[in-house]
Amino acid sequence: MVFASYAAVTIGNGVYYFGIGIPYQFGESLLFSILYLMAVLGFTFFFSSLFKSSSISILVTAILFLFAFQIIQTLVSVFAQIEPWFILTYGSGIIGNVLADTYPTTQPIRGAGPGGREGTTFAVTIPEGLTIILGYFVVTAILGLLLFQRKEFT
Amino acid sequence: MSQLRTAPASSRRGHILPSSVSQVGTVTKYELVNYFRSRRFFVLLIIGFAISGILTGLVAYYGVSTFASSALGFYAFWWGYSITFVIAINGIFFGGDAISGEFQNKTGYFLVANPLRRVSIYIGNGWEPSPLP
Repeated sequence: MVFASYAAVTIGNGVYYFGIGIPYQFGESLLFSILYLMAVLGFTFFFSSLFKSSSISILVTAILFLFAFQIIQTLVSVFAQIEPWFILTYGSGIIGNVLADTYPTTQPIRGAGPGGREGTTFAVTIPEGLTIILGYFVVTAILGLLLFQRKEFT
Repeated sequence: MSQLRTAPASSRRGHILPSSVSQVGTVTKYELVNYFRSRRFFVLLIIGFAISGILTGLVAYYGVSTFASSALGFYAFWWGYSITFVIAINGIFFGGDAISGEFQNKTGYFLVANPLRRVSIYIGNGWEPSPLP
């Protein structure tokens, strides 16, 4: 409901400023957002099944989604120079990337100055992003269900 | 009496168990009622509208050309940068206590005492914060 109202306001403003012609990329982005929401829910359900306290499960998932994933993603991609394909927030990059004029690609970069450090900026492709998102959804939803089925009401 | 023993459980008169899909529907219905009555839903709805309102105000005040020159650029600015945050907030606050709340508030005691599959309870809780209902 909150998601749907946010999408409605976005479309309303888009139609007001740029007319009825909504780009098809926005439809793709909307679809990826729904898949991402499912993956986030699968992940939160896993932690919700893991803990008996609501506060702890909300806190753990909030810390993971709002801070931990971003920090790990930055550390892994910038310092270790490894593509963070195992992070859900990296997979969610397709939601924004698909709306770019030209879809971003993984590119080598060179730091400023004579001794500038060479590196790579990673950009997730659509198949990779979908695999990460669906993988997270399936694995965490099943694990959460198994935990819930085995848990005793004591 | 012997007939009753041999008959399958689903065909006994007055003891017809609903299918798993029907169970999911029932759990979802009551979870949705609970969801729409909660204060948290209204708070998150207000947060969603506040983010939309701030963006609407900024675009109206500074002019749309400041932020985007094309329709695609506009949607990228508006949707691409903020939707993952909105989704994460919704997922965390609605999904975070969906299962653990059954244990903490002891509501699970009343649910599992009924002839309900745990899968139905799990999926029924899952529909609640999704955009689909």
